Amino acid sequence: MVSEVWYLLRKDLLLELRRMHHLNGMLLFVLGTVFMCFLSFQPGLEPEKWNALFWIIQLFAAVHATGHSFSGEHPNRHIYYYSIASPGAILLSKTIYNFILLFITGMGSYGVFWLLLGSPVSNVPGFIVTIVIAALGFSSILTLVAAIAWRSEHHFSLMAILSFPVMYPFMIALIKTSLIWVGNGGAQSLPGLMLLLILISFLALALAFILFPYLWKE
Amino acid sequence: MENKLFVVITVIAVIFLGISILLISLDCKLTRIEKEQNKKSE
Amino acid sequence: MKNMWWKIAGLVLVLYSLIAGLLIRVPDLPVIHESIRNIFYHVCMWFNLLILLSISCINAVRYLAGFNEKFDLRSVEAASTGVFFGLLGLVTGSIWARFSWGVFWTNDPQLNGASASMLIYGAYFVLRKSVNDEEKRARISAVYNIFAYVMMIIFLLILPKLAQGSVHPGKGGNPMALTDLDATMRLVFYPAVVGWIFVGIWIYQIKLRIRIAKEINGL
Repeated sequence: MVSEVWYLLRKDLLLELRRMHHLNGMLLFVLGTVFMCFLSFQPGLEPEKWNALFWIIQLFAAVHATGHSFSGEHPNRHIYYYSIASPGAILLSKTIYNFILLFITGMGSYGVFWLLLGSPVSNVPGFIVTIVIAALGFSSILTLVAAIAWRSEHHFSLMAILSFPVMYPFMIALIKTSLIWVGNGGAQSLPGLMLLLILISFLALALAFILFPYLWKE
Repeated sequence: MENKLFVVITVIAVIFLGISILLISLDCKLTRIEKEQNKKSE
Repeated sequence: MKNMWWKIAGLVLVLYSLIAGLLIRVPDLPVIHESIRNIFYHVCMWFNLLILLSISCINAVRYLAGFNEKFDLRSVEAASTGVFFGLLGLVTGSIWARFSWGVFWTNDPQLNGASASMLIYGAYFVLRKSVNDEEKRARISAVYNIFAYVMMIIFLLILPKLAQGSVHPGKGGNPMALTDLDATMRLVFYPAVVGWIFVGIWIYQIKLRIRIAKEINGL
């Protein structure tokens, strides 16, 4: 199982390193969106709005990035994977790959935000930890949704429709958590919120692990 | 004032009774259809 | 009519709560006043929503356990009946909000949770429409149903804890909670809840039986 995950993950990462199409696409997407915000919010942004905007753009980027998890490859190759690896390994490798991709995108978009819209973040290490947890949650929830959307015929339009409602609990807790590190900070208790985020992520991952085999088989 | 209240209650009760009768008749009709289908399949 | 007693009991209880709910004496509380009577109608819709969506999720699990088409039909009919009660709950809640707080919609955890669950099941029906193959549609939508149901429950559980204030009872300095309902109000409230649950499940069963009868006749 572990070796299967490792081989599949290495294959995805090598392909990505060679072509760089996902990562470059994501960074361009973020750059374009943030530049649009820079043009729209001319007198600058208050910390609360900066925070909300940052995570909403992250969500859009994540939906965009994970949407290609399964549909990016040729159907014949899926049959090949089906014959050599267990569905759980495929799901885990895709989730880890998305996690890495989303973490880099998150850091990149923080950089772009910092350049264009300023950075009201008062505690940078804390904010980076939040980016890591966000990448974990986004990847574990959205990989399964991507698989569902890929199985239905119109995957691109369905991805956003299916993923936004299931993202609400994670997003609302994420924005509250991140607000502690941004600006003056909220009054919420930090350990509880962090625990909640990690709990949602792992619950989603466990559910995905159980449910994915039903999507995978033809 | 009191009279108005009773008018409202009567209207609501009549609407609800209408819905009840609809539900009961649907249920009876379905029971009949299901019986016929069972006979056919045997 | 099969198993008549609980269906008739449901109808009688709902009728009783409709009439008694308007007639009994209610405590005069600040802000809500007489509109407190809406508790007999509005809250029941939410109980029904949760119960029917739970039935839907359980049947999705049972579908995946044996791929029996019967459970897929049950799952989708329960979801659509649940969404119907959810819409009724939104309407009754919205009217209530208009009369006691002056607005149709506020930023409130219960309202947000409700609208999120409506959106989730809206997505569920869109997903069902977009897959043509029957067996595949049943499988994919069962997976989404289970996943979305769990996320919805998390959302409903965590929202009130994360929110600063709520317009709903027992939170944010509001006058009363469901647990300290007036004794006479309990006499109407509990029968109303039970009655509506019976009626809700009955409507779901009728919808399901119509669907099955149509499938058999090839309509």
